[in-house]
Amino acid sequence: MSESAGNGGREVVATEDDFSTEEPMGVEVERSGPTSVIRLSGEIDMLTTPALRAKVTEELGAGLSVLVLDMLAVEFLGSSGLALLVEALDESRNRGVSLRLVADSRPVSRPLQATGLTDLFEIHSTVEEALAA
Amino acid sequence: MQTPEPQQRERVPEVPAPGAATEVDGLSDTKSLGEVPSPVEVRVHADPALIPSVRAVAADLAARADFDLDAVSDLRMAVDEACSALVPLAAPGGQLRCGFTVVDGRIAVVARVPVDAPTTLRQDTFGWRVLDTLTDAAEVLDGDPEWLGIRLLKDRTTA
Repeated sequence: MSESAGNGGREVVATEDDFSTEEPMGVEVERSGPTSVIRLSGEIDMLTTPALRAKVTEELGAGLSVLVLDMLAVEFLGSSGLALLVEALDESRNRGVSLRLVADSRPVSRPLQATGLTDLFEIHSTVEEALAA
Repeated sequence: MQTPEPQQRERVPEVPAPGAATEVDGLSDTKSLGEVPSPVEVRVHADPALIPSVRAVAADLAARADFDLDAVSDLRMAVDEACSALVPLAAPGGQLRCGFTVVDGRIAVVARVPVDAPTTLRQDTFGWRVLDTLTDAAEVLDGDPEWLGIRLLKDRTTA
């Protein structure tokens, strides 16, 4: 047995872990006082939207005055994600929460623009700007 | 010796009237949605977890065909939506098949899944509205009793 085969070929064969360790979507919530920032990353589609919906619903029900959705690291936004944004906007209005999006790249801005939703939202290009608004 | 009546021997499902997409995807000559003459076809289990791979192929083909960046984004999203609408309707164990034809700066897509019973797709949903908005043509293919499909056409430029 040569040394290169000593690991049973593990070094060269991709295991399932190699493909599944990367989360398709990340959601991080940072709350400070009456403000919450949800930082999203990765792909928001049919598969990942339910987890995101749960987080957004939780934050919208937490008695906040400002909810910021930081979408700068989002790589894909599908129609289920768009639908969720619209739902969140309705819900935020019902609850008197100011919902602010942070988005400045094509994966988010194009879907909003192409579907005519851009003008519905308050959109900022940085989190700082959204918090200061 | 008598041959059966043609209509009994071979039931030709109704495929849509020749539209803008026909000259690109050649679908009007197709008798079954299961097999379509697309130069590129992706076949995966009808599983939501595999849709990202299908939409990635769509975006790759569009980028290589010099689609502008917005058009690439639109096509990726439209294919995602088409697949997301079809996969939940697929017969158990069925395949999602997605064919792509790139001709003259346009891409035609024929996505379909096998169905247990003839069925169609609601077009009064938010998802369908998005699909229709993002493409130059979007059509439900429900003429084949064994398959349900969506056909899309997208131009290289969004201007």
